[in-house]
Amino acid sequence: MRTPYPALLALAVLASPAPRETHADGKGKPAHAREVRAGDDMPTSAWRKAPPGAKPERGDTAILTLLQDIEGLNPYTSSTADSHYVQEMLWPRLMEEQADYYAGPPSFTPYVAESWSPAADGLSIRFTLRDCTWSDGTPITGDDLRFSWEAARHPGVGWNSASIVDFIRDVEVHGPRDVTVHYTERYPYQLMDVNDVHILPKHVFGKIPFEQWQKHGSWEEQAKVSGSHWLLEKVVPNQEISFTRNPRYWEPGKPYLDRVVWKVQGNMETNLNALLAGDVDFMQSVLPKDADRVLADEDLLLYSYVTRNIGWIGWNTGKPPFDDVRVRRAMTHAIDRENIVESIFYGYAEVAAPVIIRSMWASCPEIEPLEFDPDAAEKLLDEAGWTRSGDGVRAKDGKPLSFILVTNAGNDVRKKISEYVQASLKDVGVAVEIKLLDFNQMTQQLKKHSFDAYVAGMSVATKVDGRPIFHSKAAEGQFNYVDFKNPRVDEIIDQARLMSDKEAAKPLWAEMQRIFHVEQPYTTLYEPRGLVSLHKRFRNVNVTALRPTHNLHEWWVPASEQKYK
Amino acid sequence: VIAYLVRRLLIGVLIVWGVYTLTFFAVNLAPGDPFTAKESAKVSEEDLARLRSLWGYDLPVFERYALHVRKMFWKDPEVLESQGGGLLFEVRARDGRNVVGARVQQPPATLLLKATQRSRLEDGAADVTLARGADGAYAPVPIRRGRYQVGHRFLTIGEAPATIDAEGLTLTAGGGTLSARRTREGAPESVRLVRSGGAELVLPASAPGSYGPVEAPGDAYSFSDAATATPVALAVPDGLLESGGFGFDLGTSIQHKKNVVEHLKQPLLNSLLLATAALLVQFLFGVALGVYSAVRRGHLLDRGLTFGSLFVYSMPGFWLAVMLQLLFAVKLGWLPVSGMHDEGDGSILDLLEHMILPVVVLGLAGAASLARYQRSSMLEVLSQDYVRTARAKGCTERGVIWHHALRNALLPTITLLGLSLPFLVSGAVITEQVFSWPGMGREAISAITNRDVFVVTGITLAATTMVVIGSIVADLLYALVDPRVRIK
Repeated sequence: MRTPYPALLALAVLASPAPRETHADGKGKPAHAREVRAGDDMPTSAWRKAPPGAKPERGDTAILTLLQDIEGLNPYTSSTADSHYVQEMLWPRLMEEQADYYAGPPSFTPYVAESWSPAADGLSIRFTLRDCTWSDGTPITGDDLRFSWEAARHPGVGWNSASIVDFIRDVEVHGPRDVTVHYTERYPYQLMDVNDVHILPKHVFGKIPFEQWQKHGSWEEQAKVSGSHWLLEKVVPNQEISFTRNPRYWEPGKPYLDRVVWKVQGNMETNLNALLAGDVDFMQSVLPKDADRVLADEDLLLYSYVTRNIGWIGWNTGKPPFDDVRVRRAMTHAIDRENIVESIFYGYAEVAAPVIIRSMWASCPEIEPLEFDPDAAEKLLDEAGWTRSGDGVRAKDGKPLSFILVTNAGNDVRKKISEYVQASLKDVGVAVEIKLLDFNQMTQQLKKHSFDAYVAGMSVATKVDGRPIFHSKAAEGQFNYVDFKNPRVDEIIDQARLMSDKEAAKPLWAEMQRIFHVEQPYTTLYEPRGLVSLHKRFRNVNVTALRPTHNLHEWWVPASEQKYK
Repeated sequence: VIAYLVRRLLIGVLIVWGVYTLTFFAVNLAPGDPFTAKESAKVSEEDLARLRSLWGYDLPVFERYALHVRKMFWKDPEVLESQGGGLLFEVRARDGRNVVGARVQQPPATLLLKATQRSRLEDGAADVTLARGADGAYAPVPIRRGRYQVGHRFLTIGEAPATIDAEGLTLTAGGGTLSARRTREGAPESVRLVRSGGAELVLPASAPGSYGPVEAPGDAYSFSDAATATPVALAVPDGLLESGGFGFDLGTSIQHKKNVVEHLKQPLLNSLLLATAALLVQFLFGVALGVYSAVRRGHLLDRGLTFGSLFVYSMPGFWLAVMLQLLFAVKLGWLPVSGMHDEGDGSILDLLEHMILPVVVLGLAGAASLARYQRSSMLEVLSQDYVRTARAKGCTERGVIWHHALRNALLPTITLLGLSLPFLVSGAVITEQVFSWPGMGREAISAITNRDVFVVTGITLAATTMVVIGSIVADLLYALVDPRVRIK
């Protein structure tokens, strides 16, 4: 699963910073009895396991929430994360990706594919499919997989992630349950790529020519045929989408819940209020400032886990003053990141590692973040020729050391961070002007490298691949907004991203991190924890960094606690 | 009056058109497009470029505008298997004839395919009735070639796919294409056919011994270059649903991939419901309280109302909304927090319960300010001579206030009412957001942030139309209540 939505961490902090006793290290025992905290064994998954021997019971409805309506039910014509969570309920995949990406390339468990074996030359994988059917009784076959792959790559369909299947040369169907996927080259993420192909029923979707897919609407009619755990019941635009159990799902007894309803919420505050009032059972991105309100409610549990997000300040290395590494390092020294984590995230975050998130296997734990040290910052700036003048703002050749810090409007965390940075840098004689831009507008400016510095975040892929962000080629049109070009970094990325041997790749990634640590084109700020709240009646809930509803079909409620009949 | 109305309406249309055009360009010239937000590390430049060209974003903005305007009123015939309303026709061959079946979302018991007059004469077509089966599908029935009308759409049915052997070739027609295979030695470079109207169709050789397939519209074809050839009258079947001609199309939503009119229908109704209720509350309370405090001027109650209305008026709407939500929904649990319905409850009562808080938020602030207006205009009127005359005449106090004074004091209120009409369709952005009310305001926010241009222009169109209509209605009402105003 690869869903990097750059700069889209829709976090908003409204309240002022307040002290709070928590776990700044993000580890250790649960801080609160009602917090389900991901353990060290699997930091990316907060799993409330049912006690051993407990028998799952059937019944009840889960009322989940979305902050934005989905973009239809066809995975190839929609792009938001919320759409994909919902679509996951209808369209099966070959395998189930596990949230263990932090330890290496993710592992997979059987789903529609019963078993699979890679060829000796590493250029193909043969899958044996399970004997299972779509909800209308038609068997799920290799033809469906081939059809879905064709849809994924068809130019008329316009899947916005079509490049994922670039390396899949062919899907060869030997028989209804026997398929070989051919790749153009050997690389470690072959399973992941083919698994990003959602399997659609050919006998239903095939009736609509690919050329018409982009403008076909919500696909509600087609989505009546499901191949996964649930059946679509009803879609009310901008209000709710409901599902019932798919009686033809092949695992006996599952799913345990009778129904699942997704309600579209106006905003986070509404979602929180509806949750506290008991109108809904779920909130997928509880703000750190609201965590206490959730924990104070006896009916709710707070699930917390390590996410794939990282927030940073990017310095435009292509133009003064940030073309000078001393200035960039001085900036990092002048910003107290521990304080940001404590006061803006209430401890539900960690100070970020240089560019590769701490939870990822490739991240090198030996690199300590640059310390908060205003004196060191002042010294570096003096060395770089920016000296203090009368009014307190440093200057060089008569030019004051001032810059514009941009971030996107409507994101209060980023606004707060920007203000904090502004105040911190003033102390070392740097004048900062904050500019809040509309998200689209900001992206345009960043792409053109017409900015000084920006605050943003990134949700990284479950694989380690620096190409779209850190490679010098990514400065044109991709995400290397800071225009940082380093030949050694390019070499490392080109080499390491396709290496199958994790242990061999590790030192390379560590070297890249060291370069970023020394060069500081980014001041990496924080890696936030994910906070999800759910009603306590649901048992066996596994909230992971891949999806808050990772094992929705295995959730169950004891009969005595069931709320909806 | 008619001339006046026509003039006003013409100006109105110009205004609406101008605003529409301005909005179109404003959205398009704003930085970013609907696809920038989709950018992420896994979306390649080519993927995005492809998406852009699929939606016409590779054209210059003026060309897009021209295209949009053209499409707005003129619908190009399209080959559609299914379209709007959930109607799905299935045309297929069975035993050498075409059969047509259909499925609809809310199926009527029977579905009538009316043969057009011309097709009756030319093709001998006749009406066909499809009866709904238990599974919601219509059992296929045989159908002749020709043109049929279903509702406001047309369905053209060709002959069933056919294979004909002639001149050493096997011609195959089906799915709107023609192809040929050689059955005798001596293959020509291409196969030439003539349509019934005289136009020529060439099937080039695609492989040794086979030709085509080429696209061929439903028609009868015969060989053109063999003198001895017998006309083969090969018909190409094409079950296609057309709806060309005049139409009204505000474009397609890029986010929802749906026709904008279709897409905005439900939000419009939802906003209308909420806004009508809010306006009712606003005007009933506003006028009543205004009149009351004017009559009881200086009383404790007047002062209380003045203070209260100023208090409510100065409160930011979103804050009031959240506070009411916290108090009545979260703390007390009397009312639902948000949405339109509770889980598993679709009753009117439930809907009304959900409306209370948003209506109060929307109506209260309006009522507060309106009461102030009403109070001052009432005071002014009450101090006038004719009111004294009326009292002197011996009218009851009640008659004086409600009949003589209020009629005049209502004038400014009527203007306000007229100006409030656009709010009925534009929706209340913040209140809808806080209460998760699926109306136009929420659509507008999401459309603007996603640069979903035709949804934005569609909402603007609805709103400006209402502004124009509202101001005309206000003027007419003015004339109705104020004898001094004459419409010319």
